Amino acid sequence: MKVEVNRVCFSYGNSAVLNGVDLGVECGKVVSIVGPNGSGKSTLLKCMDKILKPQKGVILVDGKDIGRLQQKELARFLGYVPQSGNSPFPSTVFEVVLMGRRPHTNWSVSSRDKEIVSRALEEMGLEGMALRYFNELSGGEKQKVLLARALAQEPEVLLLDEPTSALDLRHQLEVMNLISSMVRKNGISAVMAIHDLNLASRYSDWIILLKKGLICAAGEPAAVLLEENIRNVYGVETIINHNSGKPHIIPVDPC
Amino acid sequence: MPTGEIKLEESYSKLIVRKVAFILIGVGGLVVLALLASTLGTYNLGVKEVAHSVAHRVFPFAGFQSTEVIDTVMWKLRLPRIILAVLSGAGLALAGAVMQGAMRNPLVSPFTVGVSAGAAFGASIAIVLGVKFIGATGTGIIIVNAFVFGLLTVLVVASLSSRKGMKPESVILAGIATNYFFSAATSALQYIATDEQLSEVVHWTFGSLGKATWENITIVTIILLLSIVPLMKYSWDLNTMAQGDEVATSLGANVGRVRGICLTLSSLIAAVIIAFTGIIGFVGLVAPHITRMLVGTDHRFLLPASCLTGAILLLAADTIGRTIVSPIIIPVGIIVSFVGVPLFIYLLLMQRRGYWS
Amino acid sequence: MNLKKTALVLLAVILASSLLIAGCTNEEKVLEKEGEVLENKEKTPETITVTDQEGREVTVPKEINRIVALGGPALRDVAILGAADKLVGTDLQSTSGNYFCVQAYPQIMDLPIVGTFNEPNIEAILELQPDLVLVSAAYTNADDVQGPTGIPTVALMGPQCDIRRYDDTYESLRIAGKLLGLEDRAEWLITYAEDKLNPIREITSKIPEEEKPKVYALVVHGINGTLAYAPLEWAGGYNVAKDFVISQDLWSARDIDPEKVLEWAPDVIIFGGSGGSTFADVLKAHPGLEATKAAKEGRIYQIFGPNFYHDLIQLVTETEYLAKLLHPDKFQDLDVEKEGNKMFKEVYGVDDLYNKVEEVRGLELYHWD
Repeated sequence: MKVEVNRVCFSYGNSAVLNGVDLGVECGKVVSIVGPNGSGKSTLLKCMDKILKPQKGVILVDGKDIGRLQQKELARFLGYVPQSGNSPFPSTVFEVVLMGRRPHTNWSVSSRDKEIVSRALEEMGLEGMALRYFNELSGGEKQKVLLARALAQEPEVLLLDEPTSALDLRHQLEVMNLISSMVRKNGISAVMAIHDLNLASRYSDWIILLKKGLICAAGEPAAVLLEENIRNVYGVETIINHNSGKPHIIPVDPC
Repeated sequence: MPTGEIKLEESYSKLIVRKVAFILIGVGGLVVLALLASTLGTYNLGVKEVAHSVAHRVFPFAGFQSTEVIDTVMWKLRLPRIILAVLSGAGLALAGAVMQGAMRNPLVSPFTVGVSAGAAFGASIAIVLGVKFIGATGTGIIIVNAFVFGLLTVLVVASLSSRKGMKPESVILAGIATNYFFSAATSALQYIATDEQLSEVVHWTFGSLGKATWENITIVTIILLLSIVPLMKYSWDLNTMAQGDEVATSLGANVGRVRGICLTLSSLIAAVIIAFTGIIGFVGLVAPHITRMLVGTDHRFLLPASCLTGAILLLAADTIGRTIVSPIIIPVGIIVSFVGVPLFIYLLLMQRRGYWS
Repeated sequence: MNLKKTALVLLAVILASSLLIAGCTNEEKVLEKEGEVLENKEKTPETITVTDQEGREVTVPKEINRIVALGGPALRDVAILGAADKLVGTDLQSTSGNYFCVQAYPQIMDLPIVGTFNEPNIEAILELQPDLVLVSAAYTNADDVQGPTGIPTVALMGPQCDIRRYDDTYESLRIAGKLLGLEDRAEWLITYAEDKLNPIREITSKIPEEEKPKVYALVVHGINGTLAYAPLEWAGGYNVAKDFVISQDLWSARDIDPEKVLEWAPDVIIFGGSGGSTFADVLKAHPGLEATKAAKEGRIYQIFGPNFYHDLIQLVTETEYLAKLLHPDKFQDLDVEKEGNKMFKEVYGVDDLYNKVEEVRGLELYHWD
């Protein structure tokens, strides 16, 4: 188990968002967390990266309690990809990705650091825009840059918060393909909070279905993405089609 | 290694070399400006006399001659003034760059949390009501008051916003409230002041380098040196914080602590400078922006380069202010905007479209 | 949403109505008072007309029993004419014990306050129902008071320490004297001052310019500049900034480059103003001064000073003080302190006023004993 989440509870002030979540992430696997708005997907990811501190529960990373780890140490292990990345100050793409080396450096940038950044940019197909301003790029290109940055951290686990929500059809598939290939090639794991059930179905090894901060179902896509589950959690009638080998959800109507 | 990759790394390295080159040129420019400024002034001195006056103190056994008056002009008046201009410009610009990075907001300055309003209030209660700290005498009264009340505002803002987790918005809002409060208090004092007291208060707020003495310079230098090292160490954290608190945390930064320390140190620098010079605006807000346009947003270069920009700007402004209508000295706080704004506008117009997005 | 809107509208209505009501009551009050003033005028039809120092023609009742004086200069004229008992109100800053006239007539410190030195409170003035309001021309426009109140308001310049405007001092006294039926007293004061100044001016006017000591008049607080200070001229001092001051009209706050002072190389430095600073403070606050001949010979002297605190007799005694400092050989027998106290006694009827004010203001004047 690369990452273990044990009975984590988190509340913002008085509103409870996570009510006892258990989760295990294995090596080299893609895990998707799905659920309606407000079910706690993003919150769970942020707890895993120690961005938020859960009131109850323990999160282990490689068997170590993250509560006892320094933020910097954790950053060498977990790469967090936010939903979007806008900065009020203009940075170049190279500089943004270079930030991924922060957990490994104190001040100076070694040639190895530069190598890793270059390679990350190449894997994302971004070499041509390395010196352009990040804010000038399109949504899809920006997402790839954020992905490259997480890669540059040389993490063992990627945490992705809605990596495809702001992207068009083509970029959605490109980004998901990149994530898959990174997982397969580099042997890292990925945990994604994702809206799109079909993308989750197609690209995940394991799916966690959250409702109101509790896990409703967990397992392989075919086991979790069932019409009763979707009706129960989303309140939507669907038809599930298995023609492509993986479940494909066709929404019909709200119940 | 594929050639594409090498090109990429090379391009980045070249960029870095350019940034370093800018900084070195800046240092050179500052030195030249300082030398020039030392020969300019109301008291007519030739370059030779200036050089001799400096040399005979620095190399006492080399037999250089100078007169007492010339020495007074150089060592009591011009050199301290030039050095204070450099230190103040550097300090305010550094404080501004750090504040902007820590608050992730290009519109903040070292005065955003209320340091200038507090300092003005401190100076005013000394001038109008004679309220002072025990042991302070003469000019020290206003200096100590301004410093203490300047820092007090920081404490207020820090304690208010730390309840909200030190989020940038809470800091800025708390700063706005503090600013208004102390400004109103200062205005109230001005209202009951006599003609003379009123003009003294107003004059203080103009920002001038007239109080440059070696003693004052030493104090500012110490505070600057003590602050600049920890601030530079936060360069990477400031870089990542520009992308958001969450991203910065995920990359290893302790955002709350970095923000708190940056706030404290930059306010400390601002307070100590204001105490001696009065309120010099513009530099803290705009010098970092000018610098960003020249060396980019990487704080490892932005911070030292901002110091240079601020120093050059303020030294140029003060030199102009004390020579243009000599023997009247136009307070540097007034001139620096006239000098800096055209430069800023020029750079703004030269930026690519995608710069501010 | 609706509730919020209603609440906002209600709030706006309440605010608007309270403003209206307040406005109405004010108007009523003003009308009431104006009625009373008109009544008073009708009862005493005798009036006189004067031209004040803003060039306005003002008609005032012949009998004045209640005076409001705004600003130090106007206050000083009233006090020195001996009419302080007719004062019913003054401004906040003028009740300061730092003034000679206030020390002479301490009841001034307890007078009702009708505003600040440059901003009169119309309602407060009306409430006191004065017969006459005197304003200091430098700070307030007389019509700003006479307009809303309907009370005759006269603008005076008061004592002027700038030599180019000194004649306004006498003009101001004469106008005030005419207003208060104290013309004789005004003429007496003018003659008194001239009688004291003339002997000094006679001696110093005979001194050639080259022999006059070069003096830098430094006002410590607020204005790091210098002035065309009348007592300095009369005392036979050469104001190093004279040409500069006269051509640049350096009255408002400016910075004089300390390098210029070194270039002027003054023999004597006089500093004054709010007082309360020691010589060490002066030197510290003005780096570079210590290299002047004046500093090295210890010829830095504090004076009562110009600006907010000067007074006609102060100008006279200051002239004697400076004359003896600058030309000790020519004024050997002059006992400045004794003469000062004597003059104040003769004009204000109070003992030791010279020493008293020196003490109250925390000054360190030069004493010859």
